[in-house]
Amino acid sequence: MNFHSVQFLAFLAAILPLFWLLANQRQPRNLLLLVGSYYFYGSYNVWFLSLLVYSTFLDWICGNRIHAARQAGDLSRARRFLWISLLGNLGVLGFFKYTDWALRSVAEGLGWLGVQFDPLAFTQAALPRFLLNEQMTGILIPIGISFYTFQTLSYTIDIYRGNLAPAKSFSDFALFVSFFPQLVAGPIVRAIDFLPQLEYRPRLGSERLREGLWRMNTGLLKKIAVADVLGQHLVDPVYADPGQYSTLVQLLALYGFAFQIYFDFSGYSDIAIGTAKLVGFDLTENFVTPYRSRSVREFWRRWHISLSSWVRDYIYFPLGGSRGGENRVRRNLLITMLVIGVWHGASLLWVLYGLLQGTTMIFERVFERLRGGKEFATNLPRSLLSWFLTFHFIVFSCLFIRARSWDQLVAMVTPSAGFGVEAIKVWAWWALAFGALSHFWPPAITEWFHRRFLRCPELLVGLLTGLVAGAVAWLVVGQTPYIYFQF
Amino acid sequence: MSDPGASTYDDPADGLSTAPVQRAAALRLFAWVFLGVAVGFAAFDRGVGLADAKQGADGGNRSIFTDERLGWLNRPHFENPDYQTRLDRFGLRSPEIPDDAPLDELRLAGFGASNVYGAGGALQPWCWNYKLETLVRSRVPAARVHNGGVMAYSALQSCRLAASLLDALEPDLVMVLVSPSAQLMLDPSSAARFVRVAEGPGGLVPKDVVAGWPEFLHLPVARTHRFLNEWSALYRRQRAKFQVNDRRDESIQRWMVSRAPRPAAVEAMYQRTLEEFSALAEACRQRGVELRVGILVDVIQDSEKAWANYLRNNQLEGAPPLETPRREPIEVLREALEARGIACWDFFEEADKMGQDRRAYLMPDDAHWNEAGHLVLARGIFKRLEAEGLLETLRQRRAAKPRLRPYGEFPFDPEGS
Repeated sequence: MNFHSVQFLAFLAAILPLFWLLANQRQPRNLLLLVGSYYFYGSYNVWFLSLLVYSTFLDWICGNRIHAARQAGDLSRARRFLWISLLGNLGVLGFFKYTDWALRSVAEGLGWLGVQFDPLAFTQAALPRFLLNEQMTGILIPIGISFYTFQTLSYTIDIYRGNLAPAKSFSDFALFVSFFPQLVAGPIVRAIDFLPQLEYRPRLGSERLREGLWRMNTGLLKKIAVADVLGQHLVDPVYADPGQYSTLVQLLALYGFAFQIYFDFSGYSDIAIGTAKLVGFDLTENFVTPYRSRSVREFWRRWHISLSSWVRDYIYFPLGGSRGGENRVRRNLLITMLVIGVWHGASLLWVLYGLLQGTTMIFERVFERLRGGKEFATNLPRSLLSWFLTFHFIVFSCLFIRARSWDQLVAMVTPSAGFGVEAIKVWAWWALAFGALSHFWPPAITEWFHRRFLRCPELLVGLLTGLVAGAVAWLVVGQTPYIYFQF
Repeated sequence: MSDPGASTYDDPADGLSTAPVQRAAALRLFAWVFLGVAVGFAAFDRGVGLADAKQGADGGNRSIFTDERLGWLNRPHFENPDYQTRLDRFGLRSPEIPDDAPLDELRLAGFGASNVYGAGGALQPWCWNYKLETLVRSRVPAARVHNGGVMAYSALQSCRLAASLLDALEPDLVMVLVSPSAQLMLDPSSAARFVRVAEGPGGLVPKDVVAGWPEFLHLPVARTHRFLNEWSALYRRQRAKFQVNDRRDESIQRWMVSRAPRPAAVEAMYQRTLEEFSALAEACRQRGVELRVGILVDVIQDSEKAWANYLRNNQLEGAPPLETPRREPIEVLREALEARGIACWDFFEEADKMGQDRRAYLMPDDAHWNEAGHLVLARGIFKRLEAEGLLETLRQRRAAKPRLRPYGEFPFDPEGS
């Protein structure tokens, strides 16, 4: 059930009135959201629900035990249950996401030793059919598993650290894990931010309603009018067969994918945040015009913020963060960015992506230290240079995200004959131009539209939303999944 | 007088609060918004409808019409001067059979999808059938070659169309030209695309419209479909996109015939396609018509490089395993058809030749043949006809049993759909 589907529209149309009818009754309204969230997740694959329920039970029990142990002053017992939570969650995530990769690596290693091992045959023989994907070419990856695994881990870790008390009821906790707007592709919500919102009655002022619809509308347009158009008319064809396109088209496809993935993912986050607002919840922001960054470190403070802040708080800081010697800080940065890379996917390309980001951040630190800790981008020309270098680094590192293999990556950076751009369809030009323009124009322009929208009467807000829905129905071609679903 | 859409409820405690929620006010807000959404959507829909009407998208000269069994067919007598397209009375992209056509003339008819039709901007006289007709007439002067290609057809549809036109055309040889890809081999429809939900002319609706609904709701769902189809331009456009993009699962969109185990989602469609080949073979056998299935090769298979790219980039969309040899899909399909007693022609060599210089043989869309590409196919067919001595055999057979009429009735109703 994608956000840009009729099914989701019908789902929302059913959930919203019911929710507000039950708004003054805590248990029924939360239960309604819980049932709705399970239905939403089950619509992708009913079998996936069992993993969600497993994760919920595991962390509910572990969270309570950790809290009880802490109160009894038994920290070793608390640590034991934290380990159970970590292993139980990461074990499942690792099995589904990384087993194929591990088996392929083993096969390659054995191949060098002259031992034949077919990882696919092994997987097919060792696992039941329902654990394999439709083509039986590997293990099925449950949608959103990386997101909710990190989300539930934050719960037990925060309880262990004494920053959070366990959820008051199992259903509260289950709703935190499964809350449908952000379940399958974030933003990754922390219990410490979400659970307190369950304690209060939801509110729906007209400003909140307008804000929610503004986020949903802009998110839908980002996805359908920019991301999908770029994917269909530029990025997918060129990546499928780079050698058939001129060097200039290959280059434009690189930029195209950078904008495609931003508009796709930030579009999803906007719809999630907007939908949550309509049922009275506030979710954390996930993007702040990341391509305006003037350093890679700044980029990661603006891109997928809920993930980067998660790894910062639960990996980078525990490793020592920026404390200690410079070598230690560099190691911490590398490990943290490697985790971000591998969180996205199981392949050498993702490992390289993480290492590339980490190495560049280290380089930035070294450069800063050489300047005695003084900032480089202190005037316009330097700011522009910093931005230019950062933006192009990000665009080219996107190659590691989009390429399905090393060969494809190499093909994309191998110059072809000519510089003709006839192969690019007019729709792709529009999407690329609008994507770049709307990202780089002064934020005051977006804010101007935003403020106008917030001042509109409800009927007009609805009318504008109807026009956006019409445009989506006009542009959409089938069920185009969000890119981050695969992570 | 106050603005009817103006906010009547500004919760002072927007944010976290324990005060009771003013439910009626919240629901009133939603009611205004829903009303606005309905009006906005309808306005956009109307705008699209007007634009469509202006562009003549719903004009009389439409290239296809829908049918209960086939999904869609070429509309007889459709014309598009841009591509010198002029379909005949059967919707074939070839010249009309004249009323005084010799009753013993040799007739060859080829069926398939867009490449066979001559899509991608190929002019009608460039198409393979014109080239082949010239070649065949060098051996048998009274000969005619029909082009039964239809855009976006599956093999199942091509077989059905061929079988349906056997009595009207009375061909001597039927050729169905397919590639072993998902588009050709996996027909997403379950044979008949329509289902009857009520008596009368409006009682037929496309099967997918009511699929998944309990039977007692079929009639209201069908009525809603008809209403939307009549009044909503966006709905019509979505339906059209469905027709073109079909409803195969994403995981098998780029599937291809191979020796790898077939996913469950593939099996039923694949078997249905093979059964349709058998049904066509039986229909041809009963009428004494020769049948050949020409196995073509898509551009994804026309060179080792393209094949490796396809395998590497489409594993998630159902491509065969990475180590699959380029010829394997053709061999497997050929074996499956020959096991059913159907003779095949393998056009691997022709495709390989075109793959070495696509610009010389393909239209700018890099998918469909240009005039030189159509000529390669025509020569390939002619070579095989000669090798089997089919032209002479068929000529003698027809001379011994001439037709009783130049052509028969078109078995479909373009107006009734």
